[in-house]
Amino acid sequence: MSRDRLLTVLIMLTTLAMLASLYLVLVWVPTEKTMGVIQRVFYFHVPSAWVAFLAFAVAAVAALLFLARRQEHWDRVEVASLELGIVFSTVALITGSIWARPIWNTWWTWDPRLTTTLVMWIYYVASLLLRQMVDSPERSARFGAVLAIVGFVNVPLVFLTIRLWRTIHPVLFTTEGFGLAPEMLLTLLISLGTFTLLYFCLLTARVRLESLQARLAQLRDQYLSE
Amino acid sequence: MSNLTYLFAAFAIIWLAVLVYVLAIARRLHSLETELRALQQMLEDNARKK
Amino acid sequence: MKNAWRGIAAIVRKDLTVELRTRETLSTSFVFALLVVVIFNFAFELRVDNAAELAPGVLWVAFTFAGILALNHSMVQERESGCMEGLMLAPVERSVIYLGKFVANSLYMLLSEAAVLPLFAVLFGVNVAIPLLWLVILLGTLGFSAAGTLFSTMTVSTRAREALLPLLLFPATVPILIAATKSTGLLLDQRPVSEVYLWIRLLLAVDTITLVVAILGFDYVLEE
Repeated sequence: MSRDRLLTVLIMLTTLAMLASLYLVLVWVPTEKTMGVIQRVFYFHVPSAWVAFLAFAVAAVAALLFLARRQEHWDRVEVASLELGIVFSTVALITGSIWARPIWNTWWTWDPRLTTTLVMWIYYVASLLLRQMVDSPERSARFGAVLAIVGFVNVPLVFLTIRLWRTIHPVLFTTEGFGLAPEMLLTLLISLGTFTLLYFCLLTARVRLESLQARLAQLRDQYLSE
Repeated sequence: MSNLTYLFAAFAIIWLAVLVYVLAIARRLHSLETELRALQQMLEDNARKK
Repeated sequence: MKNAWRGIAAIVRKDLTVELRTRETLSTSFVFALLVVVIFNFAFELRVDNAAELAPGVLWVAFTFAGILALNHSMVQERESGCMEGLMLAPVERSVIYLGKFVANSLYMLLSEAAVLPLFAVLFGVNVAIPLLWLVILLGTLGFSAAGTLFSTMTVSTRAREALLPLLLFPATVPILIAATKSTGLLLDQRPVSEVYLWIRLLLAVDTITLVVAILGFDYVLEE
């Protein structure tokens, strides 16, 4: 079965990548001058945010495909991707908070990227809640798809508006107050690759789970009707 | 809290988040297996009755 | 095309007729907006030196909370009277239904806002007799209502009803609210008009995008 193999290969690649990333982030990359050791969070904080964005983009595309073709598979990909987007957004928000605390002595900064992430986090959690609360599965999928697309269209609007607003009132804190040495860039890119692999790993597993569940329900109904 | 402790906290959160998600998937897989076994049982019982 | 206009007018007329009879939506949203303005004013007077600085934010919090009430009322009424099914059976496109509800919802909001605005001016001691401000309020309301009409149609079918709408609508209208609040602040502070134009143009752009996306999405929401 090619799907099983895909998942196995993804898991192996992700494990290797994660090991490499951990070594680079914790041992190899030089410590940043002004912020010290805590700056190493950056190598996992930024990829988390990027992967969250990727996840919401994939969800929007899957939603479009679902509305166009009405194949359940796309609905499953969309839900799985939304869930993962929320998980990675949560990681980005919490690691951002943990990073801010020792450096700027505050648990939160109104940085445009973090603010956008927080706002959209609320939106996407509410979207999933709405799906749960709609009784008809067909309608739930349809509504979910519309919400996923609208949500993603909103992301750049929110980010640009907040940034415009904030550049007129000077931003007190920026999350990137340092330059990127080449070693840092390499570490960041490899971490980005690791997190992307992790995302695809979890996505594949989650979609498989959903489709197996659907098939089982189908079999059960088939059996009960006989 | 020293900077290193904060770093640990950040990494711990990442691991926890991923593991919680994996756990959620594992739990649903388990209930899937239970259902599958029940269905298999029902099919066998039915075959025996016939 | 003429059929579409007639359809929209019919829906708006229906909504306004029902509303004039019961006055439920208008009264509750007006009272709520007023309540928000009064409470915030009261709270800030006790602690903050210059309450007028916070005025734009308070105004838009009042408008949006009242707007949520109006949207919920509007859609729940649609659902409970079974009117939505009737509308869907009528030989009109879904976008006509959307536009009809959008106009009606916008009118509800604008009427409540018009009633609250003078009281707000008195309580916060600001001059609101600025036509450009009224334009900003209009644009902000239209954008909020455009997104709100789409979302409320979905949330009203859920078991949690009212609770989910704010969670979806506020994040979705952050660009509109920021632009509107910023413009309001600049206008109340009597800043040069050139500064405000940037935000008004942004508001107009976001409103257009919101309306287009909402019309497209509505077709999929009201499929059955």
